[in-house]
Amino acid sequence: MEDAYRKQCRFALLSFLVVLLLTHLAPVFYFIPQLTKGYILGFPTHYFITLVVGWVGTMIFYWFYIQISEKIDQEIDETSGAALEAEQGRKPGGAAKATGGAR
Amino acid sequence: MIRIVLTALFSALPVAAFAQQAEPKYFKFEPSATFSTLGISYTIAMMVSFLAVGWYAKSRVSTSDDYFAAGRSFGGISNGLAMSSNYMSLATFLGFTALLWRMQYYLIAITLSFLGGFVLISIAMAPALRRWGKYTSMQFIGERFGHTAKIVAVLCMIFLAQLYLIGQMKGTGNVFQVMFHWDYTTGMVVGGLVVTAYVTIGGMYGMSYNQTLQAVIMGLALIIPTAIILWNIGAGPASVFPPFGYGSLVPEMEKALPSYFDPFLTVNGTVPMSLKFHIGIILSIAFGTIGLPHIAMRYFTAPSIRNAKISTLWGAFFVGLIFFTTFAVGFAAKLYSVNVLNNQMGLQVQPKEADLLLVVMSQAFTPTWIAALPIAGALAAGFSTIAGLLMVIGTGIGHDIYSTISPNADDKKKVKMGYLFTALGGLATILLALDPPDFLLTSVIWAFVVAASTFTPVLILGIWWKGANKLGAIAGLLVGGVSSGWLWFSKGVFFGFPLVQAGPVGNLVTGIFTVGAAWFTVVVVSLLTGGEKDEKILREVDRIHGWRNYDPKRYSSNTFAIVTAAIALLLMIWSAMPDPAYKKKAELPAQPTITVAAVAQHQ
Repeated sequence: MEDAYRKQCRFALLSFLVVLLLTHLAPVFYFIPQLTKGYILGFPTHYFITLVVGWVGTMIFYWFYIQISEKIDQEIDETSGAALEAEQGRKPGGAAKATGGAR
Repeated sequence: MIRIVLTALFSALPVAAFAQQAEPKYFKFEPSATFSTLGISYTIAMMVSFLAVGWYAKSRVSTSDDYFAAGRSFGGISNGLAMSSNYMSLATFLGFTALLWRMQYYLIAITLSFLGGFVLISIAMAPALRRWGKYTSMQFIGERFGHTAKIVAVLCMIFLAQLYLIGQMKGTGNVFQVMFHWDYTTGMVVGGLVVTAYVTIGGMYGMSYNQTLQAVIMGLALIIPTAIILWNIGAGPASVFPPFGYGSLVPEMEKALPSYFDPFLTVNGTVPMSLKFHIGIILSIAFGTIGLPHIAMRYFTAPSIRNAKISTLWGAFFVGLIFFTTFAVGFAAKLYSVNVLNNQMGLQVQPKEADLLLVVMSQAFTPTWIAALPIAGALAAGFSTIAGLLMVIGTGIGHDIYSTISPNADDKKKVKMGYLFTALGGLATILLALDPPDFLLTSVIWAFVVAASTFTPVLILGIWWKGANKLGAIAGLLVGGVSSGWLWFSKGVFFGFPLVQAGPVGNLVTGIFTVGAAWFTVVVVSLLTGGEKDEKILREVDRIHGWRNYDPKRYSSNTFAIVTAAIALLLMIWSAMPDPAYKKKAELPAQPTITVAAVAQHQ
């Protein structure tokens, strides 16, 4: 199985879970109630963390997600394009069924 | 709409928690003549602009790609703005402030789940659906799982779109009624006809341009008054950025209402919120957002996948900006009422009036010409969501179903069908909203639960697991749709057995069971019936992930499917178990009061 395939699946699953965590921090406070003590910039710590991580944190993470996912997509395009050409080269007459560029 | 959401959530909370004191006097909002005149002027100017934009967009429509996907040319910041206004409705604009009044931190958790779902669409399925090259999620389901699955998906779409739409129409009528003293029917029909007209005429182009404009209106109509309100109640220079502009007032709030920031309590600090409620939020709100077809539709208008992702980033920024500003004005309203008004002989705020807090606070602290802005913002928010839902109905029936019935129909005929069914969808919704049934009280929240229990499992598994097949998808859609409908009407009881221990905000907790049931069904039925065998479809699954060649081993892991099905089964069992937190006896909340006299003093 290709590296790019594994990267795509793992990265999508990881990103899905990270965004779920960043935007659903409330359950964390059940397990770490100490986070409900103290203040950051005038706001209670847990409240500030929920807002900043849930919005700004998610946006920063998503920006990195865009960069990495684009690289993975490019890798998929290149490796599968090369594999397709090799496949077609082995089968003169073009018996291979290409699925076509998909970007 | 706002009132619907409020009542939806409030009605699920324990009755005792909302018990009123004997013979309360209730606050009733009475707009001044100047306020109403300005509000009507803004509204008329806005409606004329929307119609003009729709008419202008008509000239750009010549093919079905133009009508249903704006020529796939709508990207970047414009699409980000359109995405955000498509997503945010009347409930967001005014209702969040009111919900904050009662739910406090719990509302923050819910709204961030909306934001999370918005981003998760882009990670879980939007790129793949965009590569598929169609116009709707239903079309994907049709081509991946067959015509029967598509018809079931369109029926689910119509069900959830109507749950969502009638509430928006009703909310529009309510805004006209309360703000301008118009008759409910007149207001709802006028608003409904305007939005139906511009969507029908301009198609996705008209809707996209208007949604961009509506996002700008919403932003200005919320941020400007909120900044002035915060400044006037003493928040200081930080008021210029309302989302985080009230930090200096936190000590005052903690003194006046110590429970305000408590993450484990809600309803003025008296009703315990458990871990189960928070997990319910994830499965109902975030997963529901992923499945909403009118949200996913905006990704099909982008010129490329990268462009759609950039638009999502902009969309997340605008959604957060609006959400967090509503938190700020909600905080200000709560503090103001508790500190300033609570000791005066006043009138209690009913839930149905609490949705006017933004307007009340604007009237109290800003000049009238600014105070009337939130009316325009609220209507823009309602219109943008109605437009998105009408477009998905028009495309679902006018294109997806019509193409199934007449596979050889030419492009012009499909565009005509799009016009026809978008208009019919709008007119049908107006007729239904003339006399909305009682069940609409919880309809919007249930629209999310239905979307989470029908579209989300089928779409995610259809994209990421080649083993998902036609029978699994049809069974999953039916189990998700029927179980969410059944548990809604029966309040969590299945043939006398309390299947879901709902408790407060029970409809969200119900999502734990229904989403789990649908996911489990898709996996088990697909495995039992041998998975997907059609190589043409399997090749397409590779293609939508960007692959130019085909490998049967990709996306075929049954382990992934079985593990997620096991988690779904555990969630179903957990949802039926009693929640210890809910057993605690809820105490009577302290009812904040607000007086018209005190508001008037600040004008």
